[in-house]
Amino acid sequence: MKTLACYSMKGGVGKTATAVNIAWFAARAGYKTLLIDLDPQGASSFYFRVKSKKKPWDEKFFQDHEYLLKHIKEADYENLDVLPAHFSFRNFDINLSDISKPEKGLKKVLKGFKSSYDLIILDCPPTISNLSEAVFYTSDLVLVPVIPTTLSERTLDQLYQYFDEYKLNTDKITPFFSMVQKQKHMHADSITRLKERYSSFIDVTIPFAADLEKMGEHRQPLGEFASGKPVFTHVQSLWQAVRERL
Amino acid sequence: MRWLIKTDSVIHFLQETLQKSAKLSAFRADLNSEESHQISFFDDFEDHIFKQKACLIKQDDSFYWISPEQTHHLLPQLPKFAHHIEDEDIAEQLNKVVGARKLGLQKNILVTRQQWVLRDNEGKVILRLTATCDSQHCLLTATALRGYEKQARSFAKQMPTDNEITEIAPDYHLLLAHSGFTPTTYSLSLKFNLTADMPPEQAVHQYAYTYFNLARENEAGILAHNDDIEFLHDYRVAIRKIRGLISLFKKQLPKTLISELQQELAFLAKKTNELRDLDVYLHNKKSFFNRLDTNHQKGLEQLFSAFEARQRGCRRELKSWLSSQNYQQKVDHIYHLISCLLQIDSQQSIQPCLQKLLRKNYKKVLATGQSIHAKSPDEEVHELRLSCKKLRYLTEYMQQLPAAQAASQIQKKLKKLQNSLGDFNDNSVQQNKLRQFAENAPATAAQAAIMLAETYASEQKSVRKKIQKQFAEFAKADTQQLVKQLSQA
Ligand SMILES: Nc1ncnc2c1ncn2[C@@H]1O[C@H](COP(=O)(O)OP(=O)(O)O)[C@@H](O)[C@H]1O
Ligand SMILES: [Mg+2]
Repeated sequence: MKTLACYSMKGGVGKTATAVNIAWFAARAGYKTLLIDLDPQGASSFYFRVKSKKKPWDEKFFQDHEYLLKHIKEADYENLDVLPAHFSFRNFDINLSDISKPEKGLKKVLKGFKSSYDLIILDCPPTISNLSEAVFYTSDLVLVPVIPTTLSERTLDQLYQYFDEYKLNTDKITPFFSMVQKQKHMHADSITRLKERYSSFIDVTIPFAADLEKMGEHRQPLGEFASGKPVFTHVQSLWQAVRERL
Repeated sequence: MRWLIKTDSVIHFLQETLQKSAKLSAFRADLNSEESHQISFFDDFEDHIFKQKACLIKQDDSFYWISPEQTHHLLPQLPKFAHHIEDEDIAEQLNKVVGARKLGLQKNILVTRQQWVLRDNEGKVILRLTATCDSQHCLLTATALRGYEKQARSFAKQMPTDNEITEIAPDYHLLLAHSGFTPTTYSLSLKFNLTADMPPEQAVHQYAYTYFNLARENEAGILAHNDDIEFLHDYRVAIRKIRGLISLFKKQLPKTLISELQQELAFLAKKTNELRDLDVYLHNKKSFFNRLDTNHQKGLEQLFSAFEARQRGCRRELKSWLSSQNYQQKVDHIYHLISCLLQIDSQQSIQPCLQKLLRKNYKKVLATGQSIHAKSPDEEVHELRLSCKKLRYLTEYMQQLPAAQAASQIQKKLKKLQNSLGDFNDNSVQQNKLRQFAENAPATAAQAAIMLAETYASEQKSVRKKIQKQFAEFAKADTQQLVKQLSQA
């Protein structure tokens, strides 16, 4: 079982779009896949039309595996399950700080899925916190969508610093360019600079594409309604690159 | 969850079902895919596959063996016999169902398969439905998606409960069963509802008459199906059953009538002996080849091609016998003899008769068995075999009486011993036949035949040891208890 996190401390960069589409591709490729929507805003749950039960989870996420199992929903697509987001997930930081080694808390939880899934995908909230430390510690790969702007360059730097500070393995950080607009000089320049600084970039760029925006209307992964479109091929290449690195 | 519904429109049915409940009225059913196939069902003469709730089908030029649990096994081609299948596991599965019977086309049905999904008001799929339909019926199989079991239950609640299918059987089997297909009632095991006070003449008449008819039902098969050896087998078993029963009643029934009937039946059986032996040899050809190492393979080939030639000859002879005037006369005569049983004015009742016979035969088995030791001659073992066989026929027949549970229990206890005794007998019969054959065969074939005979001879000893152990097991007090119970009932 491998664990893949879609992470950025910035919002609106394409984490959820990536998590949903990669999950879809992985499932299609035969991987038993579980997408865990860690973001209490529940965007990926929305795309998959799954909802959590109302009852509060308290600290059960990290303590009661059976309880967690009961919340898993089968997506409409073969091999793909979703653990929907819940408002209780807002308390993850507090829950984690209550246990002795917070960074290991999540890993312990996911271990329980070893026999049922080949791939776990974590759709993360845009924060840097106890939870993100646990995510970094647990994941085999941290996929970071980067919109090529000066501001994003800074946040990527910060992420590397954070990893160093907490003695995490920086090899896990796997950035790729997201929402790229070729006609913008700023994007092109930023891409050149970042690629020079970080050799870890995946050699696939995801363009800014109306079809990815439309996922919200369709409430479906891209492949279900736009499999003939150019952007589909880009996302597919991203999945293939991720698959190779896992 | 599975239902059988009578409809020609799945969508109408689903929409109506959803409308029945307020909870479900905002749900919708979507058709994801649809395909039609001509399904050809294959089975044997006795519809064994159908009766076991399995399927052997052809669909789009592919052949599948489908277990009752709906496991599909793809077969490279249509097997004519179970033992022709190369995959040993599947061959074994099919063999359990059809044995040596030949497989042939049974029926064609045009089947439509549709994949439906049920979506909740958010458009989320909560249930998958497979509809397998012919022109009148549909089997709907529902599978809830994980996390949506509650919604699936609400849907199931709206389905007509009478139409729920709980039996374990493939969709295709159920469609065939509801398409108006009725399997043959032919079977070697028949049920007679005897009453305790029935005169034995009448009971024997009923049994003999029915089994003779059953034997005759196989004539057409013997004449037509060259390679389904089970017709001849059943013909012989039916005749043997009659002979077994009347030999038990030797003392109760008129002597001349019985001996004449025995003679006539023995004559019919004898006409089939050689062919049956050859059928068995050739059916088990593989196992014979496995008995000897490779330097005898050539001899075996010769041996078996000689068997094959002889089999062809025997078949021709048997066919012409069965079609002859003489045969017809024998048959008529046997019917006449059987009907004479009814004209006897009887004073006896069947149950006490059988009970007396049971006590007597059980004692005989015990006495014969107990006298056997490691060095006693083969004849004594054969003696035991014959008395066990009688006891078997007796318990088999007693099962036709009311409240005869004990009879089938005794039969079960007898079974292992009887099998070994049968093996013992087969062993010596085979040895003799092979040695006899060797006398007139060309050298290499003769050598192979003798080598085969040797393998049987060496097995004989271990079978004998088994017999002693199994007899001891049978002779235990609990069997005696059953015999006592049955002979007093
Ligand atoms: N490559 C893209 N081109 C155009 N729109 C995109 C692209 N990727 C994501 N979006 C849209 O941008 C919004 C934010 O994306 P999302 O994946 O939810 O980001 P995050 O999870 O990082 O907050 C969504 O409306 C999404 O449909
Ligand atoms: Mg998001």
